[in-house]
Amino acid sequence: MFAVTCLAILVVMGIALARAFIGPTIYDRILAVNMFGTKTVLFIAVYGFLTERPEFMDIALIYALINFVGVIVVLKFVERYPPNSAHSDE
Amino acid sequence: MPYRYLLIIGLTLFWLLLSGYWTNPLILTLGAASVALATWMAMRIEKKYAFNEKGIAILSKQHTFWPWLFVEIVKSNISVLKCIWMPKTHPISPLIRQLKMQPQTRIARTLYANSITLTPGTVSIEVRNDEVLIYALLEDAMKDLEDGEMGERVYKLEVNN
Amino acid sequence: MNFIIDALSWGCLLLGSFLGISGAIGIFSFKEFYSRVQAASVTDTLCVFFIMLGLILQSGFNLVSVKLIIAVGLLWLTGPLATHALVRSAYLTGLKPKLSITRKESAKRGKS
Repeated sequence: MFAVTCLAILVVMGIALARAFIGPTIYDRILAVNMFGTKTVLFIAVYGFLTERPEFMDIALIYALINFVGVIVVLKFVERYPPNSAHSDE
Repeated sequence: MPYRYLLIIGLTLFWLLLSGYWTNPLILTLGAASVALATWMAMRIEKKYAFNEKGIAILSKQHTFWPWLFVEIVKSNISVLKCIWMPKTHPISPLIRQLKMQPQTRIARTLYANSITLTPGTVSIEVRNDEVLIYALLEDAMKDLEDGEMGERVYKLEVNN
Repeated sequence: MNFIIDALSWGCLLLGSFLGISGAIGIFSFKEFYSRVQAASVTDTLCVFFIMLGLILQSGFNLVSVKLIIAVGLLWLTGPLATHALVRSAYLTGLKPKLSITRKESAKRGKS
């Protein structure tokens, strides 16, 4: 059952990565990367249960914090130096 | 200042629950050092951005707010899911509107704006003095916010303690 | 008893996976940025909640389940902050949303 959930989360991560590749504006990419990070936390937790090593939860917690700080830092950078593609529609 | 003690208790609990070693003296010493460092840094921040408004009174009444917010989140999740799976029968009607905020203190406003963002279907774009700019995916979601039940509930948290 | 808890946790895990996949489809099929944010918000709230609830039911009550609860709390606290920062900087750098009702019209309607 954990394997099915792992697979579903991997599919979601794949779709988020695809959106990060094609996303027309930079904010679409950041949104997709943020969602990818959230899913990574879930994936680490479920994978820890799949291999019966629940100590993986520590790594998941750290990843949740680092993902949040990373997104905020990237946004700060983008807000200060907006790239040209940020203004164009589609 | 009670905020400092609250922070120390919370950080100590966090460390103990995460580490799981409750008898090893070396690890306990390291934990005490980390808690002291984190509290010192938080106090340095607080010198600049004072956090002395009714913070703890709000914390002690959270249990009435969260279950209601959870029910709201489930409801709006269902309405957004309908838009995703059946775009023909449930078309989206995005709109932006500026609303007055009922909560007055800074922490209650933060709680209110965060609750708006946490609910799928609505996002708070910008918070100025007592106004919040909201993007909503559906007109119904915006109507619910304009009726102001969420603001009323957050407002109840900060008054009559 | 064991069987009931197992079935409940499987149901929670399946429901969480379904919510995650529908959020991913939403992020792919919506036409513009501000709508995609809402689809990502679905996966940020209930998908996380149901998958973690399923894992908590599996593990029983010990330190691992406490860590799972802390993880849900952290994700629910930091998720809206990141979303708000993202949408705010998108709005301030001039990415205009496509609206069905423009802002002036809605202001008029709000007053009347």
